[in-house]
Amino acid sequence: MQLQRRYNLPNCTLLVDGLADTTGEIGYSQRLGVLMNLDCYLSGESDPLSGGIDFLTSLMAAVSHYAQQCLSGVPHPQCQAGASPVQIRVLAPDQHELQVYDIPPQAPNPTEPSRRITLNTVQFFDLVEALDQLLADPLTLPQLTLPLNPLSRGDVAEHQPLIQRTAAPTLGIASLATAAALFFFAPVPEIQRPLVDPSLPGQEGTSSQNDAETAANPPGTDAENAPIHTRETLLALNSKIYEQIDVAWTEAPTYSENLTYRVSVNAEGEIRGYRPDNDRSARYENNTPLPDLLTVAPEGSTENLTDFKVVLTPQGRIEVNPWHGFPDDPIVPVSGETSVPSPETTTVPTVTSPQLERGEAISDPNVLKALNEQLRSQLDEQWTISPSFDNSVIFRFEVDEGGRIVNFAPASAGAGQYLSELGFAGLKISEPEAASGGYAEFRAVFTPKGVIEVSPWDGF
Amino acid sequence: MNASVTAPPPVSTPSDTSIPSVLSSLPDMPLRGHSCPRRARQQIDLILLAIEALDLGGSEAILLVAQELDLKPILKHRVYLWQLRSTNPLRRYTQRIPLTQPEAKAMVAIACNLARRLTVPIRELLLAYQKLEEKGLSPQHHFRLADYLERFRAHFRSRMNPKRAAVMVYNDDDKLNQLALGILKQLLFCTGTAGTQRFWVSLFDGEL
Repeated sequence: MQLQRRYNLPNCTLLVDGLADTTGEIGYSQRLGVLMNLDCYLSGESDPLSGGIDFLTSLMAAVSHYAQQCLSGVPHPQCQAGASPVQIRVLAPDQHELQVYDIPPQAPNPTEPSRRITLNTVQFFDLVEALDQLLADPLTLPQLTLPLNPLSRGDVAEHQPLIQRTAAPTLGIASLATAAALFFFAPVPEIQRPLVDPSLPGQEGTSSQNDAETAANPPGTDAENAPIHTRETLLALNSKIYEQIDVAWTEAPTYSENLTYRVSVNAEGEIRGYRPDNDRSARYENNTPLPDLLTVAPEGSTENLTDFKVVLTPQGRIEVNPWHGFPDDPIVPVSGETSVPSPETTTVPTVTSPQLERGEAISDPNVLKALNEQLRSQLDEQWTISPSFDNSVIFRFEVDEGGRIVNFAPASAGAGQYLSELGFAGLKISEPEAASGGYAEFRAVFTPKGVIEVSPWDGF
Repeated sequence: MNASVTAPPPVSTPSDTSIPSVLSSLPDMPLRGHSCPRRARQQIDLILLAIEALDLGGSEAILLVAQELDLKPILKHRVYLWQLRSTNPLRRYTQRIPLTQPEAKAMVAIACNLARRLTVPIRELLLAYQKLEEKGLSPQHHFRLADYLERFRAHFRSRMNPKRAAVMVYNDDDKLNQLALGILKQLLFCTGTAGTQRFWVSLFDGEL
């Protein structure tokens, strides 16, 4: 028995002629099982596209892949598979060309399509929908199924044009060559010696970084703009980077070894660039939150960037450290209960800020007690976020006789990264009065249960 | 509509064995991690954003459809749905929670269900845009199209983090309009018979 089905959409009509499938169960006499002819009428075309089952399956495959390409924006090479008699390509954002070949084009001898039909997006969608309705109809050609599968990573990489794949390395080599040529003519920069004794360990990194940036500045610009960081500013940037990555990191790691990136940030801690430190890190770059965190400097502005080393572990841990290390580490380790430092060594030596004239260390137990309590309540007030750490975090504070925080520094491993969470960074007075009266140092222990224990660094 | 929205959110979730029927047609993807890829999270949120820009009651409709499709066990309540949408990395307050496949499927099902109800305005706006293009006119010349674009821009700007490089690309009205029109075209494909499957599968193109 001959059957006919019609799928009608505003811009596309499918007419399916076929024979009833009588081999199946009883009650399926209305099932169109064998296709005799398909006519596909598209708006604006007087003649339909016609063909048999091979034409229908080619049309379905090309249309389905092209529809997926419209949805995901990822090119599906199957829309233009060489051997297929139906191919679809983009003409303009809103124009799609359907090409039908009598003889499928083979690579060596390309043939002209017998039909070219231009469709806009709505017209193309009607073609998709008519074919999808045919597929969904259990009484028409039930053996046809819609094989919807996402493109694999390999498909996407394989079909990227060679020029696209080689563009990045070529550009890299070209810019390196240009930079090398330019720097050849640049004068040898004068080296600014750091203000402090360069023999101090850890200073080398900073000074060589300054040299490098002096060299990078075009002649005539002032090298004083180069970022010179104190321990505190580095710490603050450090914790800002940590916090950004911590918040944005939602994807479970798919890598099994640590990834390392060199991340450049501006003075506000906004990430302006990053560079994978090795091939593995480059490969898994998109599995990290870094691409999302990238920000762009406003046009025409010049910023000084500072580099940090960011390590992401497969366990989901984030390690952030200045690329050139901290300027110096005068902090007495936590375990050093017995090593009582002299006041001179406890003030943090910095590259830029001249040493403050210090008064006497306060030793009156009553004053110490009052300051102790004052500091504790100040810290308590600022700490509003429930702790994310499992082990106590220790900071060392220096306060003046009025109880104001003059300086602070982490005194336990990794304490710096909780700086923003603990919230006290803003309490530090920016302009400590030189040669002020006495000062005192305290140890503050922040416990995971939310308790703050404050005691004088050298005991009462 | 007799659906009641006053029921308090269930505190404990029912067992995961009861997968709502609308989601059974969406295949599980062999993901390497627990969470859906970045592009999927971004795309789902933007599609829902476009629906809100098309339909004044869009955000309420999203919740109602969640109820009608029996997706409450997955989407729990209003705040949870908001948190899931905020797994879009472009968001101002992006959330550090994974978007699991059942959750993503539920949002895809809602988006496509709403898209189907909005078939007429979606087609109308796309055809209007096409006509304006042919005449060389800007979208501002069509009242409803201009309205959609304006609302999309306002939603996008108020919710996305302007400091992200991926958001900064859309720093002027024209570029945001192009994004809004691009998503409108994607919405058209979501309205179809196989729209839900097509949209779901497209989220993983090049990711597996």
